[in-house]
Amino acid sequence: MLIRLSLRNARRSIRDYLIYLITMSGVAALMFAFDSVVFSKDIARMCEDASIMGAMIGLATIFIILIVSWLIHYMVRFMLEKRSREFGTYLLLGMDQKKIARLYLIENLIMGSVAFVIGVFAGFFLEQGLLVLFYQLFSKEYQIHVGISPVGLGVAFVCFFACYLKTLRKSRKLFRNMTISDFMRMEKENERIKAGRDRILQLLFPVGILLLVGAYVVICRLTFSVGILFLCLAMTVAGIYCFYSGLASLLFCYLERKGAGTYRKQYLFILRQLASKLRTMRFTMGTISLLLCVALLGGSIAMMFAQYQETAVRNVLPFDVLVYNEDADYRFEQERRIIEEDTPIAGELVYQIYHNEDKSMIHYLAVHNAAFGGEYCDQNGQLDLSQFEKNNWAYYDYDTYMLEGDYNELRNLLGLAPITLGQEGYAIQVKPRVAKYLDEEIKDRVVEVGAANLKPEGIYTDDFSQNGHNGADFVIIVPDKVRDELTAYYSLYAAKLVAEPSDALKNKLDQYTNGKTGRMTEDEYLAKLESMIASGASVEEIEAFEQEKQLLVFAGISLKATGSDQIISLAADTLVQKTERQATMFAVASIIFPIVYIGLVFLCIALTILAVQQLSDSGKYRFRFDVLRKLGLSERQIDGVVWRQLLIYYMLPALFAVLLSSGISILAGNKFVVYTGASGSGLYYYGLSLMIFFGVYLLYFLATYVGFVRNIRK
Amino acid sequence: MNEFIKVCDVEKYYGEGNNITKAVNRVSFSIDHGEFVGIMGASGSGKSTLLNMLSTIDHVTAGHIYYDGLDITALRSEQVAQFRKYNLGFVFQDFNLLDTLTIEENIRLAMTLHGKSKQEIDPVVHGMMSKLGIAEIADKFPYQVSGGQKQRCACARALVNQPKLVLADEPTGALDSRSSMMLLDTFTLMNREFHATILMVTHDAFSASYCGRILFLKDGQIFHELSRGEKTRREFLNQILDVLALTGGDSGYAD
Repeated sequence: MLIRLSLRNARRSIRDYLIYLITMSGVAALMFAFDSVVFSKDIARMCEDASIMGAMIGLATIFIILIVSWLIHYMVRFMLEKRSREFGTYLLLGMDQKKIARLYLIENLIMGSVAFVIGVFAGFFLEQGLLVLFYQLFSKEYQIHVGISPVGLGVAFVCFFACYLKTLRKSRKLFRNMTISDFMRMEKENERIKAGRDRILQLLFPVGILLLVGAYVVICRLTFSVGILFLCLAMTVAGIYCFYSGLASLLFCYLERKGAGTYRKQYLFILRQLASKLRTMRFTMGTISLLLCVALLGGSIAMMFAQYQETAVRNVLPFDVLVYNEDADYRFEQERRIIEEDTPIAGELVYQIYHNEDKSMIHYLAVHNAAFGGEYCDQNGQLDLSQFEKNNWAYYDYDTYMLEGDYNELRNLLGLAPITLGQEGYAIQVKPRVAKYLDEEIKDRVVEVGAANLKPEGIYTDDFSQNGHNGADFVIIVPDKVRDELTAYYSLYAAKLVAEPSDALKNKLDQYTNGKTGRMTEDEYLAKLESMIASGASVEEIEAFEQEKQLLVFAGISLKATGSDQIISLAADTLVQKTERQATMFAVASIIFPIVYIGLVFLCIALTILAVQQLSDSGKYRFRFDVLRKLGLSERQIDGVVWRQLLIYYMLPALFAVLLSSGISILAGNKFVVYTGASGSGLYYYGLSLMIFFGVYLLYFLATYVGFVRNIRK
Repeated sequence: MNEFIKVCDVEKYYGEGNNITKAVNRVSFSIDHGEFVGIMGASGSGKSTLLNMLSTIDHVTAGHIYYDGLDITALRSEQVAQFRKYNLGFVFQDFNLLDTLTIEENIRLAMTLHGKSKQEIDPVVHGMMSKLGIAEIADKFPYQVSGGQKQRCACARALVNQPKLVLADEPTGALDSRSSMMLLDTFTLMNREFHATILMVTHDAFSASYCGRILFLKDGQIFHELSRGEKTRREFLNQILDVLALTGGDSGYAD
């Protein structure tokens, strides 16, 4: 009997709270899809770094479980309140609390299971979609294979029902202490509008705004630290809750004062609805705004990285293969053999980068390149030389030069037109991002090489591998005739291949270089460390070994400079375009996937609560709109009232989230462009994210509107 | 004649095929301006259906209803809403007050929906509240006041726009006898002072005795009509009870 009743109730709840079910199915689908991908053997085989992605998704899952638990907790309480009279009747009929609690538990678990089953079904398709995406990242053909990953399913199952467990145990406690009259009263409680200390509480509104503005100012003005970040977060959260509490009271006071707006047609009705909704939901609205804000920020960040992925590899690595050697006379013979064995070479060049013991350009950039954020400047904005020489990681010790002939041959490899320099001319090849910081002072200067005074003849911003290979950020192109006046700095080898190389090429080249330079792979390094500890080496010896090798092992580079790219920087002695592209894409995907996962779940949960709040109240609204109808409102006018009411209700947290996140997103986006050299701007990324956000928003809004109108017409 | 409402051969059927219920069957009558008319009948006699059609909430199956010569059965839905807005006021058994609005706001809303200004609204609302004795509960919410007060608020709301007709559906149904008497006195006041035309549906003989004229409905048809004339309320009540006794209706007050 209990089961049958639970089943029937669950069926009714599914009908009444369809949006909730759909969202829970969506959450289950996302959980299943992501978990399956993370634990997929194919992905693990394809990419060694799959564990990073696993960790990121795992981290995201923790947040998601917390928020989904909150949603379930909210919904369980909400449904309990809505159905309190029914539970009171069960008690009246002689059922004991324990039994009712069990009934409710079973009902919720049935709903959860239905959502999970639908979710897994939908998630299967989502998983295939994600896998196709992955395979595309790695330029491989994906064969759709039917089969559900048992590990993925298991993990999703555990995560999904973990969300339920805690909440439902809590609700049992709730039942235990309830009497029949409590249940009967609970329903009335919803309708009660408590007259509070609104005159004082409305002060929270400006306080909230002040806190939010304060948080923004602090994060913009002060130098970044974890303490400040937490301070800002705390201020933001407190600000949001104050804002909503204050807004509810402000509205109540306005109504009490009989403000002019309350005399305008239906607005009295709409304002009262809004005020009482805000009063009962101020904390929920605050949380919803926060969730939406996180979703928007996440979207923005995901867009940044997605855009970066587009440009990064092309910027850094237009060449199929590029190898660096610190020995200026190195001829790269073995490397060429290794490449030749792997894939035929279509064109190649062994060349050198030079210096002139001049430092004008690097000193200029140390001051003007915004990526350093004034790190090397003194109080007057001039170069702090000692600070720069001590901490310089981006640039070589001297300005780097390249011969015109070499430059044109490299351009030829890239399919670019050659340049022609005059007898007394020079050009600058620079990263597009850095070109923005060159002003007349440096663009118009005369470069002295030996006896020659070279005049500027142009700036080139083609993609040119300038993370330490063809200079760091820049290289100065000079006529071949001044070669003897320059000192060879280091040597490079660039190649264009006939076809895509094998996945193993990069490894083979690295192994060769490691063998030659005495560098170690990570495994070799750890083994050596272990053997040192086992053989009882002194702490000093171990530390010396670590200091000597660690950087080489983990960074894998002996480049002396890497340019000023930050956040994601592609720098290595040996660059194989295909491998680096895959690695970058995977690194970027490891960031984007969890962020999108979190963002989507947060967005859907916030919207579900908004929708459920409105739709489940429509019984009450049916009566209210009926009264309005009797007062002479036409159907069209009633639709208008519904439209306005829902719009205000939906837009309030959305606008709030937009206001809150836009400042931060645009700020962060612009910084991102400064540091990484990705194309676009903060506003552009934010706009993209906003479009997706409002797309999903619109879907939920329309579903609510249609459902609402249908309900009040019943 | 000062005829206001004319009901001509109105019918209302529910169901289809062999399963047709005639809720109202060829009813005709008329009401003059300033009249206080009651419609009486047992449950299921069709009195509420008739009221719903008169109040444009429901459509007629056949027949016509004229208000000052205007046939409301021929109006389009937008026009019907307009008609309702400017001509009718409602008082219902369950008050139909909006629970999110205060007593005063419930009354005020009826006027703001008409697009009136604050200057017009405030004196009318306050005057109406003090006349009906609810001025001191103006800022209370419906759940904070008694049933009688709620119903007087509903009356005030029905009257503020000076409608041509006030329709009351079992207005005393949810009230105790003292509150009922107060409300019926209010109705009489509305009728005399504000010259409101009132049409009240009730199954309660005591309430009906406040009316000037009563139509008795049975099985969807008018079977009797009583006018109070110069009779006292007590005499009129007895007369009503006699009619009810004949039909086996409400006879509780006869004993």
